[in-house]
Amino acid sequence: MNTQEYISSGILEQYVLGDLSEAEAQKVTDVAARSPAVRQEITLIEETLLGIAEHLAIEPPPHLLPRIQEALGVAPPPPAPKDTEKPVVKKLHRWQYGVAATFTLKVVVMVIAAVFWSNWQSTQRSLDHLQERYDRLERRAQQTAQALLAITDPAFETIVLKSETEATLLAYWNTQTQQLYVNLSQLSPPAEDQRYRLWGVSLGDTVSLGEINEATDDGLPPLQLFQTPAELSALILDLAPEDSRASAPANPRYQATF
Amino acid sequence: MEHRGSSYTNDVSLGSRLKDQDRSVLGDLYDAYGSPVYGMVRQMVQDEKTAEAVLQATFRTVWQEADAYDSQKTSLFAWLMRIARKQARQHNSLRPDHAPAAQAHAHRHAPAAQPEAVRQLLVRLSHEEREVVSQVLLGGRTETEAAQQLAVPVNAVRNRLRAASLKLREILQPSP
Repeated sequence: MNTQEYISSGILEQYVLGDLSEAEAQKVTDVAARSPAVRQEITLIEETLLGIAEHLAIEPPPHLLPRIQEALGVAPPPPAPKDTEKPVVKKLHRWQYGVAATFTLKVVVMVIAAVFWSNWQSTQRSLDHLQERYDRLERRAQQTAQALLAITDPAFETIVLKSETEATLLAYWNTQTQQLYVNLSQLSPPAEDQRYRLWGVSLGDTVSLGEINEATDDGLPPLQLFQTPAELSALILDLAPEDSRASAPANPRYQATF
Repeated sequence: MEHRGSSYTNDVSLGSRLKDQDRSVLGDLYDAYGSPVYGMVRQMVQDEKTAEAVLQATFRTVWQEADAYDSQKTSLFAWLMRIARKQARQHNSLRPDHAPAAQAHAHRHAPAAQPEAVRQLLVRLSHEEREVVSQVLLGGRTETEAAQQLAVPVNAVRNRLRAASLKLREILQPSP
């Protein structure tokens, strides 16, 4: 059998595939060592086999190589640790960051809203208080202006009420309208459980003109208006217990007779 | 033909490192030939799990029998395929439904479905040549087993495989 017949017999394909017996394979090896043509044919058959295999190539699963290397003890060393060990931080997905940011933003907005609500409520209370104070002052200013205007009217007579210690209170009485303004600026405040009362003597009878209001701190002249009977001959200011129901002055402090 | 990692120089280098039991050579060898060997093995066995076991056994044998490789006699890929074919046959023989070749017929242990590219290669072959290629090259059987499967003489299998090999060589050669 010449070289071409040997090659054409198909024995070299069996040799490349490894399907010959050891003895047959050794004979082919010996022939190939002596015959470049046989050696070359073996190379061509190997390349054809590789060409077919490359058409069939499938990427092996990624876990296979590490498993093989580990089984043989040739696994590559793990990457060298960096200079400083960084603490392990669990990575969050982008959507988790989004949820956290949304939640945080919501909490911040709620806190800000609560602060603004509280401030608004406080401001509203202050405003109400100021409005109330303004209204009161306005009323007092009107009353005071009216009183000051009135007492400068020639129809008003000035009455001086005196205490036992010669302290004085001024009152202004209009005989036509029977309006009486009492200037309380010199009156010392009563004890907590006491009150001042103003009495008038008309035609021999003592009548109550009313209680003296509590002093105010608005800086305006404390002029209190009373309405008197037509005939008035005396004024008495007494100091009585808060719950007193007496119908006559019990403890006069100031009085005037005219 | 231009093949990945097929150069003789590359094989000599890889073979030398393999004999020296260079720890990194296994990864390089796997990168160069892992995919084509796995693709061939996948044709020879029934399922992926078996193919993975065969590939692992192949590279384990390559590492443990590195001294047996001779780059003057054969290419690294051909050596790898010889080992892989033996491993595939061993795994197939362990299958519970394995039957002696004499009792088996053409459709027993049929290889996995062929990719379209290979199907096109085989279209140029005669029916008899395709049968032999499917049995021996792709199925991993020996010529004796294939002869029994196909109920033809061993010489017929060998001749048909030779004829198919020449046609495939022409098909795979790049156009000048």
